[in-house]
Amino acid sequence: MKLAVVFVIGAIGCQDNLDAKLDLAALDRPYFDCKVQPVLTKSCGALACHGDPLRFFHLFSRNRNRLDPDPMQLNALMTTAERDHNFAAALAVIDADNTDKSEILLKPLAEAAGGWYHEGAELYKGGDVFTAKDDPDYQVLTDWIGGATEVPTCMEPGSGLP
Amino acid sequence: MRLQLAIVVALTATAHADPEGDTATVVARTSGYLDNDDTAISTSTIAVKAKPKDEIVVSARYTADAVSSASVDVITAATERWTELRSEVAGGVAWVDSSMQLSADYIYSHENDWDSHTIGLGGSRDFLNHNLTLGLGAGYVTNAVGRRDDMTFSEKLNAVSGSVRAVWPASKDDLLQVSYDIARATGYQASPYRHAFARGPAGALIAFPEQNPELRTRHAVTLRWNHHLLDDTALRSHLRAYVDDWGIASVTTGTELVYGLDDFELSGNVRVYAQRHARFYQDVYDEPRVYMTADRELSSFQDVFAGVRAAWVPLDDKLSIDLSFTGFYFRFPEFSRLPSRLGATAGLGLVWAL
Amino acid sequence: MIRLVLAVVAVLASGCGVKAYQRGHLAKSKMQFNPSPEQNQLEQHVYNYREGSVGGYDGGGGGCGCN
Repeated sequence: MKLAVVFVIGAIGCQDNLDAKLDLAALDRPYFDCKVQPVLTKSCGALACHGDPLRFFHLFSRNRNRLDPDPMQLNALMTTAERDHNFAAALAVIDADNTDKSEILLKPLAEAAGGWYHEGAELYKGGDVFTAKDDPDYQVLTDWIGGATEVPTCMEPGSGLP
Repeated sequence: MRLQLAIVVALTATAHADPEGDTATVVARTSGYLDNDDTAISTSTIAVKAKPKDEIVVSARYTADAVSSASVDVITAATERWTELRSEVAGGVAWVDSSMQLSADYIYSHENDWDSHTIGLGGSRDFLNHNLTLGLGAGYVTNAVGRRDDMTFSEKLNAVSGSVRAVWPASKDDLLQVSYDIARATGYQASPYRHAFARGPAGALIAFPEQNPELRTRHAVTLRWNHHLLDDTALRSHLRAYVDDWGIASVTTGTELVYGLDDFELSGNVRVYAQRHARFYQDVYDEPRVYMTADRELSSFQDVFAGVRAAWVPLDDKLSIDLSFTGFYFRFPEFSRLPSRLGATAGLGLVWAL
Repeated sequence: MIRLVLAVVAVLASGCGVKAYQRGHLAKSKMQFNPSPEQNQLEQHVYNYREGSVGGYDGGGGGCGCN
């Protein structure tokens, strides 16, 4: 039976490159740790928002969603593993081939400013995260996606790390 | 009743055995679907067929689905239960004579995040003193795909399909049909509501927007066999083999025993399905891929449907009332968020021939 | 494959097919492949949007975002 299936599929053929690997955007990690992480912590990481592990895009932040469920670790400094996760999660919502259309930029941007529908803007009646593209925190994201870099040792302010 | 081996592509095809009126036929059906993935669907349809002239059949149908779901797909997104209404209207015309049939149909369906237009053409002809019927069919559907409450999301999905069928009596008690169907879809074939998961560096899952190939070509070969036995009993069996260029291969088989007893018709049926996954499917991806899906219907799985139906056909075949009940079970060994699904459908139908 | 098709056609053309007066059972409603198109449409709609395969059984209705 398996031979017959293989034969038929072989005869009809699968498309090429169904297993192709996805090239994520090659963006600067220190810039993320130093500049982007604080924006995500402040504007996205609340427990009712993207600090909720049930959300597709979810983040770790101090005093919110933590990798270690021990409540005594709630306010501990963010671990390397948590930063690695946040960096990977952010890259997952960036379109490497069309960075201007990335979800991380357009979801939190008000529709009137060219953004996408964002359920979070309605759920808590607070409006969207960024009301206009000239928002300084929005500029941090666009600069990062545009290839901005930072000194290798720069980390999130208050992180306790050099 | 004249033996009709018409090929059904269009809904106006007259190879049906619901009561058929000299002037018109009205069909009303309602059904309910419920499963343990917290999904309930209510469907109602009403159809009218009329014969304005001897060889012309015109038809119209309206169908409405009401869906309410808090499926595992929805829970994962941390959103609440959603409800939706889908409406479908269809119309068709067929020209039928003693050995040939031509038909054309149009279907429009609408949901708050989906609009679809479908056209179908079909034809069949008898050969060899009605010992062979050959049929051809073609269809085209164009879909506008949206996202609930999101006016900024808009995609297209189009498909063209074709079919060829042959029907012949193998004996005075046996009818056989073999058919080949092909369909080619181009456009957006993912779901704007789903995200696929890859294992992240911290062990937690990273979500990627679902992305499926934009092209899909599908093939199905189906064999159907109806066997008459006893005084008024039929055994209807089928076997389908399916493959597509996403790597999915499946087998479908089933049988139905239909027993006639005066004005009543009782039947029991069972249907089994087994599918091999799409080549790009993974429950949790080992690394980010260009094509990643969270659609359990692209995984390897098996299902079984089993049901019973009772019909009452009084008044010299001018009226038919039927009730049906079907239970089903799905097993998803490659979808960890829903290893199995159990559910049932029930239906009530009324056919009135005028 | 072509030889098989021709063989089937030859058998049917040779007069071994079913005569008209022998088709009483075949004409019965329960011997039809699609005796109830609307019922079939509802059933195929469930199968098409709960499984990864389509085709072969008619029906199914129009396009749907049911997945």
